[in-house]
Amino acid sequence: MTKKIAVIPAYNEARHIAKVIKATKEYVDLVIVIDDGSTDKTSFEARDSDIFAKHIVNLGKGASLRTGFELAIANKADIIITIDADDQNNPDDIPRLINALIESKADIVIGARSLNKNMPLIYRIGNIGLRKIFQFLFKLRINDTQSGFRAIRAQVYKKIIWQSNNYAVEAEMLANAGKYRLKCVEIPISTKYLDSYKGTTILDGISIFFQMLLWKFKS
Amino acid sequence: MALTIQYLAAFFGIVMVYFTYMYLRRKEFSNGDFFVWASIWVLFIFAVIFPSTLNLFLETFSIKSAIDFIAIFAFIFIFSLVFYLHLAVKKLQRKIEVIVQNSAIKNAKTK
Repeated sequence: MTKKIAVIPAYNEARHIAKVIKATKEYVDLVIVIDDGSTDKTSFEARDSDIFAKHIVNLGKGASLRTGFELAIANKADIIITIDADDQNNPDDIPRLINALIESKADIVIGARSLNKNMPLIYRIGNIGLRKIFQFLFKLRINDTQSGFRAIRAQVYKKIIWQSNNYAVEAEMLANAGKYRLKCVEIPISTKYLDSYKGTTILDGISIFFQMLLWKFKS
Repeated sequence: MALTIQYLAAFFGIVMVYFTYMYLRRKEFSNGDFFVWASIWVLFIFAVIFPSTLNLFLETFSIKSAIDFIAIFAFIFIFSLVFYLHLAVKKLQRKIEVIVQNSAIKNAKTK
């Protein structure tokens, strides 16, 4: 039987984490929460997760995902689902991600957010900009390079493993997937935007741009 | 006759030698660190008190004035130092990541 494990990186997400864990549990075998040095009650609210790990200081989303993947691999995951802790993604989409992974024999399935009016304008501009640059540099036809809602085959972890500790993790994962010619598929997902002050900022976007150039140069 | 700025620069150099020695006494500097930094400040004091000693270097490197010489070498020194500090910070950052992640994995709570 295919073992499905969800990894949820969380930083100061006490308001949403319990709801995300509860909904995610419906569709996976294990839920792993990595509290990335939160200063609120995230640790307490995440008590229903199957595995809980805490970074004693905040390292960033990339580092949290790395810790989560290590724990998922140690728990013999076949498929790892990454989902944001801010209730942005709808866990009801998890079965569609997993089915797409199995049916299309893909290595990574990305839950692609639609760049419509629901997405704040600044995110839309940033996402379109980063997508264009990513497609130009890495020749991969991926429309949402920044989506954190993904299903990934555990066996490709060693190939896509990332150095980024910040929000560049999503793009780096895909750049590495492109390097090894892994099959990446996108399916549309529904998204809610609850906390406009959280997530990728303009500075993060600029940093991701420079890091993309660096990965290209390295490859 | 020495200019006021030379006295000020020399005084600054002496204060920095004192701080360097203080850090050695506090064991925050190794003997090697002390030697390197004390040498830099002593050379700095010597250069500001006797700027004519720089003439030899000016001719060798075809630099017009002592102030140009000091500015050029100050830039080289500062950029080298920034590069070294950048590497040192990166190394420290990596060590902290490893410690924090290993600790999180080791202490992970399973239901």
